[in-house]
Amino acid sequence: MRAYVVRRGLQVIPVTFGVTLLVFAMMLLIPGDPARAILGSYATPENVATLERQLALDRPPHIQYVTWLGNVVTGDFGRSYSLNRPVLDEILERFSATLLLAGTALLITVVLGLTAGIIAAVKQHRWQDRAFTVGALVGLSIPSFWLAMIFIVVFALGLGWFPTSGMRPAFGPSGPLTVLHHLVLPATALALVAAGVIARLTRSSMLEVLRQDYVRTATSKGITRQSVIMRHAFRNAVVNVVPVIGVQVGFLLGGAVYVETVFGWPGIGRMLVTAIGTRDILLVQGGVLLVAITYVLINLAADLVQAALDPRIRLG
Amino acid sequence: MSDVRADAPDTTALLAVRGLRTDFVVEDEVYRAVDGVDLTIGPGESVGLVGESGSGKTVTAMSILQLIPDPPGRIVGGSIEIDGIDLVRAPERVLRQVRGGRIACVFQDPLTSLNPVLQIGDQLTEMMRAHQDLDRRAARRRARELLDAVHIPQAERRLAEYPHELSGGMRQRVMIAMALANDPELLIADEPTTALDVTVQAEILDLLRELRERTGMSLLFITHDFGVVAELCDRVVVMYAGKVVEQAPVEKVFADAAHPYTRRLVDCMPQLGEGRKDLEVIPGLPPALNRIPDGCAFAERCDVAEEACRRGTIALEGYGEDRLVRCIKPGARP
Repeated sequence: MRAYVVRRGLQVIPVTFGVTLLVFAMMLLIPGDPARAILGSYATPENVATLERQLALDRPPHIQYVTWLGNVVTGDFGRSYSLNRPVLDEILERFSATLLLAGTALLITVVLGLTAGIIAAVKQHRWQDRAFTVGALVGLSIPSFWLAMIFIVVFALGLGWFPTSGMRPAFGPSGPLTVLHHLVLPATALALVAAGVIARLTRSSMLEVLRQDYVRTATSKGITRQSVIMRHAFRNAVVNVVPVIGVQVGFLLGGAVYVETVFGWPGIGRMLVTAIGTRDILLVQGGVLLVAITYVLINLAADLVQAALDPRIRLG
Repeated sequence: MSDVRADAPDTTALLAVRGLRTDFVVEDEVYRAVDGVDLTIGPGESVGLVGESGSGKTVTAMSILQLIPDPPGRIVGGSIEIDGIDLVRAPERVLRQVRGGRIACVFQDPLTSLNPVLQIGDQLTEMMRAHQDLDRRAARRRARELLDAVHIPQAERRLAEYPHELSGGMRQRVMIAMALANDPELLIADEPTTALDVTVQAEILDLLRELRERTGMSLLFITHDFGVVAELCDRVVVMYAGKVVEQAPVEKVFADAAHPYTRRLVDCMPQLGEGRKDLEVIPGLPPALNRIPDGCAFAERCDVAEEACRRGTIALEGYGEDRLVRCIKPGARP
């Protein structure tokens, strides 16, 4: 196991390096001149040139990249011109809000997806299976931003059960109930698509495993049906599901951009949307980099969990 | 609705299967895999259940502990009694006590029959703790003893290993150790050597014989290999197309098989010292289980069949003093 952890851990380095390159290139390639965006359309060419020199935008791209990367490695993400504060402070603050949202959504995704998948597989061809299959399909087919708007219309404006927008920090002055109250709608809207993916995969994986000889062996031992399903079948089925949960985290972080915008959630997704509009390059780069590295690390964690669950993977 | 009379005196039987019928329903077609099978196993007795692939021998054995996946399989008739408990109608709780407790199973392929993500030790102790009141340490100690009993070296170390770290023969020894964990009265072994190398096969058979002598448990041994039956069994039950076609003490089957199918199966056994002779084969295939013909299901492939063989229902009848045969021309030779 230790060898696997080291081997898999080392893979993170080139991937992260590649991510920084992409993040940097992305901002070079999108149209629009940052200096002009900052100064407005009435700025003189001289002013624009001066600002470009100040921001080092007149240097060749590879020099810009190396300078930026060197600063980032030492924890200096630069200063956001539009907010006039260090990028790192802003993205960490925003990211904690996104983590609260995406983390809760992940919890819903995993609990709902696995439970629905197990029940559907065990009750194959019965009404539970049909209900979950249709539910998962509907969940999969609805874009989360649309679902978010429907939720607001029905549960916030119509029934008045939840607030339409806003957020309370997890460890702020308001109690956990208020935090939860604001979380329910956006987290659910965000989670349902991913839950549908996990449910379908869990179902098919369980159906595959339930046919295996070792499940028959388990039954022949005289243990309870519940033990057969959870300890023997699910324990094997989940091995295939864990890496996909890792991938779904990427979807949740990406989906957070829409859902945060719809719900006015002060997360990194909404921050990025604003920053792209104002061409606040350093803010965008810092934000995207943080999200991307989170995604890389979550997938590392998913792979390690998978290896812990299946001894055969550790060998590979 | 069985057309069979009971053979051995039932009062002494450990397990009595009567008129067992198991169907598989696939796309609205009914396949009768087991069609009215009677089978008794006495205490300490070793019974060989023999037949080609698809003859219903495995389905019969798996029906005993209700291990047939439902759907598509379903027991539609008959009873399976152990001490007056009918396993077909028993509630789940009662069935669980019998499974792994009084009746244990060893399956064909030990690699796929062991859970790949659980350690050997955990799989063994789980079996014990389902039936006995043992704490973790006692169960662990007993697991080590069991591995010793099936001659697995370095038992302590093996307990912490996973199935993929063991050889095929070793895995089957683990399966056997697991089956023995609760001192079962009956061991059902479903072709336990088929997936193994020839040399390993012999070792596993030796082990089964040794354990049977030591524990006195009964054995239901499913195989298509008459050679194995000769080594290990007291009595043979031959199945064809879901029905029992012959039942007899082992030595009589080899000396003088009554049913033409049994005779042909015995002929298929390669004999040591016979030189380079072509192996015998039985031409043709068993009938499809959803289209079983009238009369004798083997008639199409039989070398002594006549018109009467293809009509009506042929009953399983006494032949000699201790045999049963489902044939209107028992003992006939071409």
